[in-house]
Amino acid sequence: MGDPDPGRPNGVRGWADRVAEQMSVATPGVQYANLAIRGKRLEQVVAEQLGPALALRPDLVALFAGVNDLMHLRVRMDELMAVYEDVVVTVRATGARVLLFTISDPEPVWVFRPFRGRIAIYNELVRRIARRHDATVVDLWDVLDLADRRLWGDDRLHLAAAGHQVVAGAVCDAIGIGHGLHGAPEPTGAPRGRRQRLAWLARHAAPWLVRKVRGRSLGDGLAPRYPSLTPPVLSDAPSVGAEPGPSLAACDSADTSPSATPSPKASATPIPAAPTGFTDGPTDVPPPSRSAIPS
Amino acid sequence: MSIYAGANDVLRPRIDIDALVAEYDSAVARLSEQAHVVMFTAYDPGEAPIFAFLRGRFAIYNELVREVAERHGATLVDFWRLREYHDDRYWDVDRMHMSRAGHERMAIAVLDALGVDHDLQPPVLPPPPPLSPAERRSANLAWAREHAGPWVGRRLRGTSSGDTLAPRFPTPVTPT
Repeated sequence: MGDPDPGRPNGVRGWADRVAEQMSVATPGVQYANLAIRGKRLEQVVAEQLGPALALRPDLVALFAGVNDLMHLRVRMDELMAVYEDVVVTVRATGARVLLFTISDPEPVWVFRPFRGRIAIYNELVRRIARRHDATVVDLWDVLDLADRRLWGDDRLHLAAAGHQVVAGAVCDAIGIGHGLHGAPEPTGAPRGRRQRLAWLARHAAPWLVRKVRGRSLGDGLAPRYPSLTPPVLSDAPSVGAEPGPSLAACDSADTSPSATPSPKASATPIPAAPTGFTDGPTDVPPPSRSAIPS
Repeated sequence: MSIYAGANDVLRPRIDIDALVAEYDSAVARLSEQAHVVMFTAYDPGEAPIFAFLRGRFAIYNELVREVAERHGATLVDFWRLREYHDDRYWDVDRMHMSRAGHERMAIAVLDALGVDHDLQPPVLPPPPPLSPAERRSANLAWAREHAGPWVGRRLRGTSSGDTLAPRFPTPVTPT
Protein backbone atom coordinates (compact mmCIF):
# COMPACT_ATOMS: atom_id res chain seq x y z
CA MET A 1 0.00 0.00 0.00
CA GLY A 2 1.04 3.59 -0.40
CA ASP A 3 3.49 2.96 -3.19
CA PRO A 4 1.34 2.60 -6.29
CA ASP A 5 2.63 1.15 -9.52
CA PRO A 6 -0.14 0.00 -11.84
CA GLY A 7 2.24 -2.21 -13.77
CA ARG A 8 2.93 -4.53 -10.83
CA PRO A 9 0.95 -7.21 -9.03
CA ASN A 10 -1.79 -5.74 -6.84
CA GLY A 11 -0.84 -2.36 -8.31
CA VAL A 12 1.92 -1.62 -5.81
CA ARG A 13 5.70 -1.55 -5.69
CA GLY A 14 6.86 -1.30 -2.09
CA TRP A 15 10.14 -1.64 -0.27
CA ALA A 16 10.68 -5.29 -1.08
CA ASP A 17 10.44 -4.74 -4.82
CA ARG A 18 12.82 -1.85 -4.37
CA VAL A 19 15.32 -4.04 -2.53
CA ALA A 20 14.98 -6.74 -5.17
CA GLU A 21 15.69 -4.18 -7.85
CA GLN A 22 18.85 -3.07 -6.05
CA MET A 23 19.94 -6.65 -5.58
CA SER A 24 19.45 -7.53 -9.20
CA VAL A 25 21.59 -4.58 -10.19
CA ALA A 26 24.31 -5.69 -7.79
CA THR A 27 23.86 -9.35 -8.61
CA PRO A 28 22.38 -10.20 -12.00
CA GLY A 29 20.27 -13.32 -11.91
CA VAL A 30 18.73 -12.74 -8.53
CA GLN A 31 15.30 -14.30 -8.17
CA TYR A 32 12.63 -12.86 -5.97
CA ALA A 33 9.34 -13.99 -4.53
CA ASN A 34 6.93 -12.13 -2.28
CA LEU A 35 4.29 -14.04 -0.40
CA ALA A 36 3.34 -11.18 1.90
CA ILE A 37 -0.24 -10.09 2.33
CA ARG A 38 -1.21 -7.13 4.44
CA GLY A 39 -3.10 -7.74 7.63
CA LYS A 40 -1.97 -11.29 8.28
CA ARG A 41 -1.44 -12.43 11.83
CA LEU A 42 1.58 -14.46 12.78
CA GLU A 43 -0.25 -17.76 12.91
CA GLN A 44 -1.58 -17.13 9.41
CA VAL A 45 1.88 -16.36 8.12
CA VAL A 46 3.11 -19.62 9.60
CA ALA A 47 0.20 -21.60 8.20
CA GLU A 48 0.00 -20.02 4.76
CA GLN A 49 3.40 -18.61 3.85
CA LEU A 50 6.20 -20.43 5.61
CA GLY A 51 5.90 -23.75 3.75
CA PRO A 52 5.56 -22.22 0.27
CA ALA A 53 8.46 -19.88 1.04
CA LEU A 54 10.77 -22.68 2.08
CA ALA A 55 9.72 -24.72 -0.95
CA LEU A 56 11.39 -22.02 -3.05
CA ARG A 57 14.70 -22.90 -1.37
CA PRO A 58 15.59 -19.28 -0.80
CA ASP A 59 19.01 -17.97 0.21
CA LEU A 60 17.53 -15.08 2.09
CA VAL A 61 14.21 -14.75 3.88
CA ALA A 62 12.72 -11.52 5.16
CA LEU A 63 10.30 -12.03 8.02
CA PHE A 64 8.16 -9.14 9.10
CA ALA A 65 5.45 -10.69 11.18
CA GLY A 66 3.63 -10.36 14.46
CA VAL A 67 2.89 -6.66 14.22
CA ASN A 68 -0.80 -7.16 13.55
CA ASP A 69 -0.95 -9.44 16.55
CA LEU A 70 0.13 -6.58 18.81
CA MET A 71 -2.90 -4.46 18.01
CA HIS A 72 -5.29 -6.39 20.17
CA LEU A 73 -6.58 -5.82 23.64
CA ARG A 74 -4.71 -8.65 25.27
CA VAL A 75 -1.55 -10.14 23.86
CA ARG A 76 0.61 -12.78 25.44
CA MET A 77 3.94 -11.51 24.23
CA ASP A 78 6.08 -14.45 25.25
CA GLU A 79 3.77 -16.94 23.54
CA LEU A 80 3.60 -14.82 20.41
CA MET A 81 7.35 -14.43 20.23
CA ALA A 82 7.94 -18.11 20.91
CA VAL A 83 6.05 -18.82 17.68
CA TYR A 84 8.07 -16.12 15.95
CA GLU A 85 11.29 -17.67 17.21
CA ASP A 86 10.19 -21.07 15.91
CA VAL A 87 9.81 -19.56 12.44
CA VAL A 88 13.31 -18.13 12.63
CA VAL A 89 14.72 -21.47 13.77
CA THR A 90 12.90 -23.30 10.96
CA VAL A 91 14.21 -20.99 8.28
CA ARG A 92 17.73 -20.87 9.69
CA ALA A 93 17.80 -24.67 9.70
CA THR A 94 17.61 -24.60 5.89
CA GLY A 95 20.77 -22.53 5.81
CA ALA A 96 18.99 -19.43 4.62
CA ARG A 97 19.82 -16.04 6.01
CA VAL A 98 17.01 -14.39 7.89
CA LEU A 99 16.12 -10.71 8.05
CA LEU A 100 14.04 -9.49 10.96
CA PHE A 101 12.54 -6.06 11.60
CA THR A 102 11.93 -3.88 14.57
CA ILE A 103 8.95 -1.53 14.58
CA SER A 104 9.00 2.27 14.49
CA ASP A 105 8.64 4.17 17.74
CA PRO A 106 4.92 5.08 17.90
CA GLU A 107 5.48 8.00 20.28
CA PRO A 108 4.86 10.74 17.68
CA VAL A 109 1.28 9.59 17.01
CA TRP A 110 -0.85 9.93 20.11
CA VAL A 111 -3.38 7.24 19.29
CA PHE A 112 -0.58 4.71 18.95
CA ARG A 113 1.10 5.64 22.24
CA PRO A 114 -0.77 3.08 24.32
CA PHE A 115 1.02 0.45 22.23
CA ARG A 116 4.46 1.88 22.82
CA GLY A 117 5.44 -0.44 25.66
CA ARG A 118 4.23 -3.46 23.76
CA ILE A 119 6.06 -2.43 20.61
CA ALA A 120 9.25 -1.88 22.58
CA ILE A 121 8.90 -5.34 24.13
CA TYR A 122 8.38 -6.79 20.64
CA ASN A 123 11.54 -5.04 19.46
CA GLU A 124 13.59 -6.15 22.45
CA LEU A 125 12.53 -9.74 21.88
CA VAL A 126 13.21 -9.53 18.14
CA ARG A 127 16.72 -8.31 18.93
CA ARG A 128 17.31 -11.17 21.33
CA ILE A 129 15.99 -13.77 18.88
CA ALA A 130 18.17 -12.33 16.14
CA ARG A 131 21.20 -12.58 18.37
CA ARG A 132 20.44 -16.14 19.41
CA HIS A 133 19.95 -17.42 15.88
CA ASP A 134 22.34 -15.23 13.97
CA ALA A 135 19.68 -13.33 12.07
CA THR A 136 20.06 -9.80 10.73
CA VAL A 137 17.98 -6.96 12.19
CA VAL A 138 16.68 -4.09 10.11
CA ASP A 139 16.21 -1.50 12.82
CA LEU A 140 13.15 0.51 11.84
CA TRP A 141 12.85 1.90 15.37
CA ASP A 142 16.07 3.67 14.52
CA VAL A 143 15.51 4.76 10.92
CA LEU A 144 11.79 5.07 10.27
CA ASP A 145 10.50 8.16 12.03
CA LEU A 146 6.74 8.36 12.49
CA ALA A 147 7.07 12.10 13.00
CA ASP A 148 8.37 12.49 9.45
CA ARG A 149 5.10 12.83 7.60
CA ARG A 150 6.77 12.50 4.24
CA LEU A 151 7.31 8.83 4.92
CA TRP A 152 3.73 7.90 5.69
CA GLY A 153 0.46 7.70 3.87
CA ASP A 154 -2.57 9.68 4.97
CA ASP A 155 -3.63 6.85 7.27
CA ARG A 156 -0.27 6.94 9.16
CA LEU A 157 -0.52 3.18 9.28
CA HIS A 158 1.07 2.46 5.96
CA LEU A 159 4.18 3.79 4.31
CA ALA A 160 4.20 6.27 1.47
CA ALA A 161 6.56 5.78 -1.45
CA ALA A 162 9.28 7.74 0.36
CA GLY A 163 8.88 5.52 3.42
CA HIS A 164 9.21 2.41 1.32
CA GLN A 165 12.40 3.85 -0.08
CA VAL A 166 13.79 4.49 3.41
CA VAL A 167 13.00 0.90 4.42
CA ALA A 168 14.56 -0.43 1.23
CA GLY A 169 17.71 1.56 1.97
CA ALA A 170 17.83 0.23 5.53
CA VAL A 171 17.48 -3.32 4.24
CA CYS A 172 20.24 -2.86 1.70
CA ASP A 173 22.46 -1.43 4.44
CA ALA A 174 21.67 -4.36 6.71
CA ILE A 175 22.56 -6.95 4.10
CA GLY A 176 25.52 -5.04 2.82
CA ILE A 177 24.61 -4.17 -0.74
CA GLY A 178 25.31 -0.80 -2.23
CA HIS A 179 22.36 1.26 -3.28
CA GLY A 180 21.36 4.78 -4.19
CA LEU A 181 18.33 4.99 -1.98
CA HIS A 182 19.50 7.60 0.49
CA GLY A 183 18.50 10.67 -1.47
CA ALA A 184 15.95 13.03 -0.04
CA PRO A 185 12.60 11.35 -0.42
CA GLU A 186 9.90 13.10 -2.33
CA PRO A 187 7.84 15.18 0.10
CA THR A 188 4.31 14.03 0.69
CA GLY A 189 1.79 15.38 3.11
CA ALA A 190 1.82 18.69 4.92
CA PRO A 191 1.67 19.94 8.50
CA ARG A 192 -1.70 19.24 9.99
CA GLY A 193 -3.96 20.97 12.42
CA ARG A 194 -6.76 19.83 14.67
CA ARG A 195 -9.23 19.59 11.84
CA GLN A 196 -6.94 17.28 9.91
CA ARG A 197 -6.43 15.12 12.95
CA LEU A 198 -10.17 14.71 13.42
CA ALA A 199 -10.59 13.93 9.74
CA TRP A 200 -7.89 11.32 10.07
CA LEU A 201 -9.69 9.71 12.98
CA ALA A 202 -12.92 9.50 11.01
CA ARG A 203 -11.41 8.41 7.73
CA HIS A 204 -8.70 5.99 8.84
CA ALA A 205 -8.51 5.25 12.55
CA ALA A 206 -12.20 4.45 13.07
CA PRO A 207 -12.50 2.10 10.08
CA TRP A 208 -9.30 0.40 11.20
CA LEU A 209 -10.78 -0.17 14.64
CA VAL A 210 -13.99 -1.54 13.12
CA ARG A 211 -11.98 -3.96 10.98
CA LYS A 212 -10.12 -5.15 14.08
CA VAL A 213 -13.32 -5.72 16.00
CA ARG A 214 -14.85 -7.64 13.12
CA GLY A 215 -11.72 -9.64 12.50
CA ARG A 216 -11.42 -8.30 8.98
CA SER A 217 -8.36 -7.13 7.20
CA LEU A 218 -7.51 -5.01 4.19
CA GLY A 219 -5.66 -8.05 2.94
CA ASP A 220 -8.74 -10.24 2.81
CA GLY A 221 -9.16 -11.52 -0.72
CA LEU A 222 -5.70 -10.51 -1.84
CA ALA A 223 -3.27 -13.01 -3.28
CA PRO A 224 0.51 -12.96 -2.81
CA ARG A 225 2.17 -10.68 -5.31
CA TYR A 226 5.02 -12.95 -6.37
CA PRO A 227 4.18 -16.45 -5.17
CA SER A 228 7.01 -18.01 -7.14
CA LEU A 229 10.52 -16.89 -7.87
CA THR A 230 10.84 -14.31 -10.57
CA PRO A 231 13.44 -11.83 -11.73
CA PRO A 232 12.73 -8.50 -10.07
CA VAL A 233 10.96 -5.93 -12.23
CA LEU A 234 13.29 -3.02 -12.71
CA SER A 235 11.99 0.48 -12.74
CA ASP A 236 15.10 2.46 -13.48
CA ALA A 237 17.63 -0.14 -14.44
CA PRO A 238 17.94 -2.31 -17.51
CA SER A 239 16.55 -5.79 -17.18
CA VAL A 240 18.97 -8.43 -16.18
CA GLY A 241 19.96 -11.60 -17.96
CA ALA A 242 17.98 -14.78 -17.60
CA GLU A 243 20.63 -16.81 -15.86
CA PRO A 244 19.06 -18.11 -12.66
CA GLY A 245 20.69 -16.86 -9.54
CA PRO A 246 19.90 -17.16 -5.89
CA SER A 247 16.39 -16.60 -4.83
CA LEU A 248 14.63 -14.73 -2.16
CA ALA A 249 11.11 -15.01 -0.96
CA ALA A 250 9.15 -12.73 1.28
CA CYS A 251 6.05 -13.40 3.21
CA ASP A 252 4.31 -10.87 5.32
CA SER A 253 1.23 -8.95 5.89
CA ALA A 254 2.17 -5.84 4.01
CA ASP A 255 1.60 -6.70 0.44
CA THR A 256 4.33 -4.44 -0.77
CA SER A 257 7.19 -6.39 0.58
CA PRO A 258 9.36 -8.12 -1.93
CA SER A 259 12.22 -10.39 -1.39
CA ALA A 260 15.38 -10.52 -3.37
CA THR A 261 18.16 -13.00 -3.66
CA PRO A 262 21.84 -12.43 -3.38
CA SER A 263 24.29 -13.88 -5.77
CA PRO A 264 25.75 -17.28 -5.06
CA LYS A 265 29.19 -15.86 -4.50
CA ALA A 266 28.05 -13.05 -2.29
CA SER A 267 28.57 -13.44 1.34
CA ALA A 268 25.47 -13.94 3.32
CA THR A 269 22.93 -11.48 2.13
CA PRO A 270 19.46 -11.63 3.46
CA ILE A 271 16.53 -10.11 1.83
CA PRO A 272 13.95 -8.64 4.05
CA ALA A 273 10.32 -8.38 3.69
CA ALA A 274 9.14 -4.94 4.34
CA PRO A 275 7.39 -3.97 7.44
CA THR A 276 5.19 -1.00 7.48
CA GLY A 277 4.99 0.92 10.67
CA PHE A 278 2.26 -0.99 12.18
CA THR A 279 0.10 -1.99 9.39
CA ASP A 280 -1.82 -5.05 9.73
CA GLY A 281 0.47 -7.66 8.49
CA PRO A 282 3.64 -9.43 9.22
CA THR A 283 6.05 -10.06 6.45
CA ASP A 284 8.46 -12.79 5.91
CA VAL A 285 10.65 -13.34 2.96
CA PRO A 286 12.30 -16.59 2.15
CA PRO A 287 15.97 -16.55 1.42
CA PRO A 288 17.68 -16.88 -1.91
CA SER A 289 19.14 -20.15 -3.01
CA ARG A 290 21.32 -21.71 -0.45
CA SER A 291 24.41 -21.51 -2.56
CA ALA A 292 24.43 -17.86 -1.75
CA ILE A 293 24.52 -18.39 1.95
CA PRO A 294 28.01 -18.73 3.25
CA SER A 295 27.38 -18.91 6.92
CA MET B 1 33.64 4.31 32.99
CA SER B 2 30.39 2.52 33.61
CA ILE B 3 27.04 4.15 34.14
CA TYR B 4 23.72 2.56 34.89
CA ALA B 5 21.08 5.12 35.69
CA GLY B 6 17.45 5.83 35.05
CA ALA B 7 15.98 2.50 36.07
CA ASN B 8 14.87 3.93 39.42
CA ASP B 9 13.24 6.85 37.65
CA VAL B 10 11.37 4.46 35.39
CA LEU B 11 9.78 2.94 38.50
CA ARG B 12 8.08 6.20 39.44
CA PRO B 13 4.31 6.40 38.91
CA ARG B 14 4.62 9.10 36.26
CA ILE B 15 7.70 9.35 34.14
CA ASP B 16 8.61 10.97 30.84
CA ILE B 17 11.01 8.35 29.54
CA ASP B 18 12.01 10.44 26.53
CA ALA B 19 13.03 13.39 28.71
CA LEU B 20 14.81 11.04 31.09
CA VAL B 21 16.86 9.41 28.35
CA ALA B 22 17.59 12.79 26.75
CA GLU B 23 19.22 13.80 30.04
CA TYR B 24 21.01 10.47 30.17
CA ASP B 25 22.22 11.02 26.64
CA SER B 26 23.85 14.33 27.51
CA ALA B 27 25.52 12.77 30.55
CA VAL B 28 26.90 9.94 28.43
CA ALA B 29 28.08 12.49 25.90
CA ARG B 30 30.12 14.27 28.60
CA LEU B 31 31.57 11.03 29.93
CA SER B 32 32.47 9.88 26.44
CA GLU B 33 34.68 12.92 25.99
CA GLN B 34 37.01 11.52 28.63
CA ALA B 35 36.54 7.78 28.77
CA HIS B 36 35.14 4.71 27.14
CA VAL B 37 31.63 4.28 28.54
CA VAL B 38 29.91 1.04 29.54
CA MET B 39 26.12 1.13 29.67
CA PHE B 40 23.42 -1.37 30.54
CA THR B 41 19.97 -2.23 29.33
CA ALA B 42 17.29 -2.96 31.91
CA TYR B 43 16.42 -6.46 32.99
CA ASP B 44 13.47 -8.21 31.35
CA PRO B 45 10.96 -8.75 34.16
CA GLY B 46 8.98 -11.09 31.90
CA GLU B 47 5.30 -11.73 32.25
CA ALA B 48 5.44 -12.56 35.96
CA PRO B 49 2.56 -10.71 37.54
CA ILE B 50 4.43 -8.70 40.17
CA PHE B 51 6.67 -6.74 37.82
CA ALA B 52 4.90 -7.30 34.49
CA PHE B 53 3.50 -3.77 34.42
CA LEU B 54 7.07 -2.51 34.26
CA ARG B 55 8.03 -4.59 31.26
CA GLY B 56 6.81 -2.13 28.65
CA ARG B 57 8.59 0.75 30.37
CA PHE B 58 11.82 -1.17 30.67
CA ALA B 59 11.58 -2.13 27.01
CA ILE B 60 11.07 1.50 25.96
CA TYR B 61 14.00 2.53 28.17
CA ASN B 62 16.11 -0.15 26.47
CA GLU B 63 15.16 0.83 22.95
CA LEU B 64 16.18 4.42 23.71
CA VAL B 65 19.34 3.43 25.58
CA ARG B 66 20.48 1.34 22.61
CA GLU B 67 20.33 4.48 20.51
CA VAL B 68 22.32 6.42 23.11
CA ALA B 69 25.01 3.74 23.26
CA GLU B 70 25.25 3.60 19.49
CA ARG B 71 25.42 7.37 19.20
CA HIS B 72 28.38 7.60 21.58
CA GLY B 73 30.14 4.36 20.72
CA ALA B 74 29.57 3.01 24.23
CA THR B 75 29.77 -0.66 25.16
CA LEU B 76 26.33 -2.00 26.00
CA VAL B 77 25.94 -4.82 28.51
CA ASP B 78 22.64 -6.35 27.50
CA PHE B 79 21.00 -7.23 30.79
CA TRP B 80 17.66 -7.80 28.98
CA ARG B 81 19.16 -10.83 27.23
CA LEU B 82 20.61 -12.51 30.33
CA ARG B 83 17.93 -15.09 30.85
CA GLU B 84 19.63 -16.46 33.97
CA TYR B 85 18.15 -13.63 35.93
CA HIS B 86 14.71 -15.14 35.59
CA ASP B 87 15.98 -17.39 38.40
CA ASP B 88 15.23 -15.93 41.86
CA ARG B 89 18.63 -17.04 43.11
CA TYR B 90 20.28 -14.25 41.13
CA TRP B 91 18.33 -11.75 43.23
CA ASP B 92 18.49 -10.60 46.79
CA VAL B 93 15.58 -11.28 49.13
CA ASP B 94 14.16 -7.86 48.24
CA ARG B 95 13.85 -9.03 44.59
CA MET B 96 15.05 -5.62 43.46
CA HIS B 97 18.79 -5.93 43.90
CA MET B 98 21.11 -8.64 42.73
CA SER B 99 22.37 -11.41 44.99
CA ARG B 100 26.04 -12.39 45.22
CA ALA B 101 25.47 -14.79 42.32
CA GLY B 102 23.81 -11.97 40.39
CA HIS B 103 26.84 -9.75 40.90
CA GLU B 104 29.22 -12.53 39.94
CA ARG B 105 27.30 -13.17 36.75
CA MET B 106 27.16 -9.47 35.93
CA ALA B 107 30.92 -9.10 36.37
CA ILE B 108 31.36 -11.79 33.71
CA ALA B 109 28.87 -10.06 31.40
CA VAL B 110 30.72 -6.74 31.70
CA LEU B 111 34.15 -8.26 31.08
CA ASP B 112 32.79 -10.24 28.13
CA ALA B 113 31.16 -7.14 26.65
CA LEU B 114 34.47 -5.29 26.92
CA GLY B 115 36.40 -8.20 25.47
CA VAL B 116 38.62 -8.44 28.55
CA ASP B 117 40.18 -11.81 29.32
CA HIS B 118 39.24 -13.12 32.74
CA ASP B 119 39.10 -16.31 34.74
CA LEU B 120 35.75 -15.77 36.43
CA GLN B 121 33.56 -18.83 36.57
CA PRO B 122 29.76 -18.75 36.42
CA PRO B 123 28.40 -18.64 39.95
CA VAL B 124 27.52 -21.90 41.65
CA LEU B 125 23.92 -21.66 42.74
CA PRO B 126 22.43 -23.18 45.84
CA PRO B 127 19.70 -25.71 45.09
CA PRO B 128 16.35 -24.03 44.48
CA PRO B 129 14.16 -24.06 47.54
CA PRO B 130 11.37 -26.59 46.96
CA LEU B 131 8.32 -24.49 47.69
CA SER B 132 4.77 -25.69 47.65
CA PRO B 133 2.23 -23.27 46.14
CA ALA B 134 1.16 -22.34 49.67
CA GLU B 135 4.73 -21.70 50.74
CA ARG B 136 5.32 -19.61 47.64
CA ARG B 137 2.23 -17.53 48.37
CA SER B 138 3.41 -17.07 51.90
CA ALA B 139 6.87 -16.02 50.70
CA ASN B 140 5.29 -13.52 48.31
CA LEU B 141 3.25 -12.04 51.12
CA ALA B 142 6.28 -11.78 53.35
CA TRP B 143 8.19 -10.08 50.56
CA ALA B 144 5.34 -7.65 49.98
CA ARG B 145 5.23 -6.82 53.70
CA GLU B 146 8.94 -6.59 54.37
CA HIS B 147 10.29 -5.16 51.11
CA ALA B 148 7.71 -4.01 48.57
CA GLY B 149 5.59 -2.08 51.05
CA PRO B 150 8.49 -0.15 52.59
CA TRP B 151 9.83 0.49 49.10
CA VAL B 152 6.54 2.04 48.01
CA GLY B 153 6.55 4.11 51.22
CA ARG B 154 10.03 5.43 50.45
CA ARG B 155 8.93 6.34 46.92
CA LEU B 156 5.93 8.24 48.29
CA ARG B 157 8.08 10.10 50.81
CA GLY B 158 10.72 10.80 48.17
CA THR B 159 13.41 9.04 50.18
CA SER B 160 15.70 6.19 49.27
CA SER B 161 17.52 3.40 51.06
CA GLY B 162 20.70 4.98 49.67
CA ASP B 163 20.11 8.40 51.22
CA THR B 164 22.62 8.04 54.02
CA LEU B 165 25.25 6.16 52.06
CA ALA B 166 28.44 7.59 50.64
CA PRO B 167 30.12 6.37 47.44
CA ARG B 168 32.30 3.35 48.12
CA PHE B 169 35.35 4.37 46.10
CA PRO B 170 35.10 8.07 45.31
CA THR B 171 38.73 8.19 44.21
CA PRO B 172 40.61 5.61 42.13
CA VAL B 173 41.96 2.65 44.10
CA THR B 174 43.88 -0.46 43.16
CA PRO B 175 41.46 -3.39 43.05
CA THR B 176 42.12 -5.90 45.80
